[in-house]
Amino acid sequence: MVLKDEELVARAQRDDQLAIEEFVSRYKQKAYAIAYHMCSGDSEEAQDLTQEAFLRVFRNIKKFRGDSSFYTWFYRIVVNTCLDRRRHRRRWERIFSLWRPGQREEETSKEVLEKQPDMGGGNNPMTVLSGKQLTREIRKALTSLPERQRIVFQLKVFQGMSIREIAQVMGSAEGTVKSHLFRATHSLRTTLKEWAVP
Amino acid sequence: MKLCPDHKETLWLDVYGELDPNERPAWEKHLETCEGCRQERTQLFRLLQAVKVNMPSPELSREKTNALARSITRKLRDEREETWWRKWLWGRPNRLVPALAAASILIVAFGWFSMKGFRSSFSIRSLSNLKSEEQVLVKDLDIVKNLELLEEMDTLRKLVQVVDHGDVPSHTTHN
Repeated sequence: MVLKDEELVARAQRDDQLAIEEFVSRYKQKAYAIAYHMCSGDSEEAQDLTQEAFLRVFRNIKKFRGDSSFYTWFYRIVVNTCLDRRRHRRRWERIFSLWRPGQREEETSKEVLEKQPDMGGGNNPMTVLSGKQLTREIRKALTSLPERQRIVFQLKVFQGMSIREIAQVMGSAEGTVKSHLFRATHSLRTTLKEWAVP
Repeated sequence: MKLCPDHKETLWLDVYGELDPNERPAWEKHLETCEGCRQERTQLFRLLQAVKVNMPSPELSREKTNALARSITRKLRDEREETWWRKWLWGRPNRLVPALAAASILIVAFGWFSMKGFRSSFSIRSLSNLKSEEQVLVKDLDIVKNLELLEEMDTLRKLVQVVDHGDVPSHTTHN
């Protein structure tokens, strides 16, 4: 029998170990996917962030009063965990960039491209090459977006959330989310226009 | 063919599956007649599809999932079993580390400034190191000291005169 989120929350609030395990198994993929996209495809960091997000959830689960749905609350914690880590890392990178400018950026883009999973392009080298090139272009275009626009776009396109859900996760108005989404779409449409033409 | 600027938002909402069902019939009617919007819609669909296909959401393997679940439950159990003083020292938010860092900075800063003050009070201050007001005061003090010396010199000179000549000048006896 599949328990509803509300029942699982009630059990987890009473420190029920099985409920916690069920939560992890139910939400791990979603949390990992969000973390993976938000930390620019670094799978190790994404795992670390997923764990950190779950820990934050269970440390604070007694504070959850059910005003919003559990998964919105959960996704908000995941997004905030990723944002905190990004800010923290950026702060350190800014300090260390004084010693070795430009080096880390090159390393990161190379690592990320090498780590990319196979897109199923088969053995055709041209398909593989164009796939990799497109991946690089998309990643570059996404990285160049302002933080909130990128998050909204990622939650919409990769996680398939509705604008209302994204607004709840980000704690913003629906109009603001819509505006971020449209601006992101406009930027990507302009940057990747050659890939949209058949 | 260009996209109609008035229908840009409707087009994007349609592509993202967020178009209000009440607006759909009018939008579909417009699409039948507008080549630009139709073309833009197709291209945007293609672009979003390409983004989704080339940036797939990865899956955690069964082993990694199990390891993650074990690690989370172990950490939670460890946190629950921590004693109150360990929680206070190392718990979240970490209190001890920032407090120690702040205390170290304060000690170093205090030490630095007090050493500086200690040195400056014992250093020999030359006339050139002093401010102009202080220089004037020092000069005034020198003049006063010299005046005293001159008075003493004057008294000595008069004593010598008395010893040499044996008579006291009339104006000094009145003093």
